[in-house]
Amino acid sequence: MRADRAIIGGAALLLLLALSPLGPLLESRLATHILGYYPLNVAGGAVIGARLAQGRGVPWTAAPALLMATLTLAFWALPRWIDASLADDSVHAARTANLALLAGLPLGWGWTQAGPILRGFFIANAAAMLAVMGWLMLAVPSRLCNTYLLSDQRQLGNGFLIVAAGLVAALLGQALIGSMREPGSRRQHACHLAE
Amino acid sequence: MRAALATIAVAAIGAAALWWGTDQGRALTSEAARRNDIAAAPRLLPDVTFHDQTGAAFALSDYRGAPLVLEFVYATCPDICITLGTAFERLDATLPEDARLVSISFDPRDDTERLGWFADRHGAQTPRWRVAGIEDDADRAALLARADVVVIPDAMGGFVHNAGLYLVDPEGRLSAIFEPEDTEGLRVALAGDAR
Repeated sequence: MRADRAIIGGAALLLLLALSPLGPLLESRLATHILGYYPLNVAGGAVIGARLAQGRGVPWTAAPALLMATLTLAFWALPRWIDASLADDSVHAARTANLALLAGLPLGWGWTQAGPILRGFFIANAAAMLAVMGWLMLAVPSRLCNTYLLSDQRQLGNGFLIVAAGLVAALLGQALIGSMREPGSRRQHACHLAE
Repeated sequence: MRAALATIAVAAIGAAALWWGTDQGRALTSEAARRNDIAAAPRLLPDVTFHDQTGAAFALSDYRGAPLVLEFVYATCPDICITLGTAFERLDATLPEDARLVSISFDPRDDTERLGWFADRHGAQTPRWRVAGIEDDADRAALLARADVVVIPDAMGGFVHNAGLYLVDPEGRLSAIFEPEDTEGLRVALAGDAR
């Protein structure tokens, strides 16, 4: 019962994004477009993907699924296709479906199936890519998207750097806190609490 | 093994999609894609009617049979249009006698007087170099769309737009776009066409 709520919730999020004024509002600025609209669009699919992966142990699918999500995001992060999705409704529709089904769904699925090493690699890789893109957005002297102002591009650059720093901090925090604990200590702690 | 094969398959499909989506790695931005498209398949421009800095009316088809260079500007533009105007001054001085120049304003507020400001600032004289406005809103939109000129309002009452020097062949087809600074490239291309 609770599990179905995840699927309904993901679908509802996708519908909200597609049909309400929230979508166009987020798309009106480059930074909210890439750091708001895209993550929500992906999250809609990811919630469903994670739910589908629950109770299904197929760890070998984790790496290809996460790679699929990464490449789909890379495609739709190309300035050319950001412009095209705003200029052409059919491209926009294709993107919505892509981000939900080819990025979100495999992300949710792959993350659930992945072990700690793959997860760590994925986050570290994402942080590195975001940092490079952030630097690029700040360094390139000309506009990359015809639809947005140069100031929008700078804003997105800063946004990318902040998100990258956040991911690194999260990873670092987990590594440091994790290493302070003895292996299995979390479970013992939980048992202790249960007593 | 399964994981490796599936990952390689996903990587191959993703790489193919990115290859396709960037015109074989040549177009990361819509600006580059537009220039590749036009160079590969010259586009016939709609035959719109203009009025120039002297108030005279003329049509794009009046220019058939001779090389024509266009640029898109607006009269009160503080930055990129100055570069474009200066580029046209250079072309005015170096292109063959039969070549014609038209600076097209996409700002509906640019009447004959305001077009005259731009003409005076850069020494544009008819019939060699016209500074032109488009009366009809639909005509203006059609021409901008055909040339893929994207105009967005900036925060200061002006516009931001993708700038370039537009070479139109004697058949009235937009055949190449050059960087505003690349007047020499345009001159060489035009000499090549004439041969």
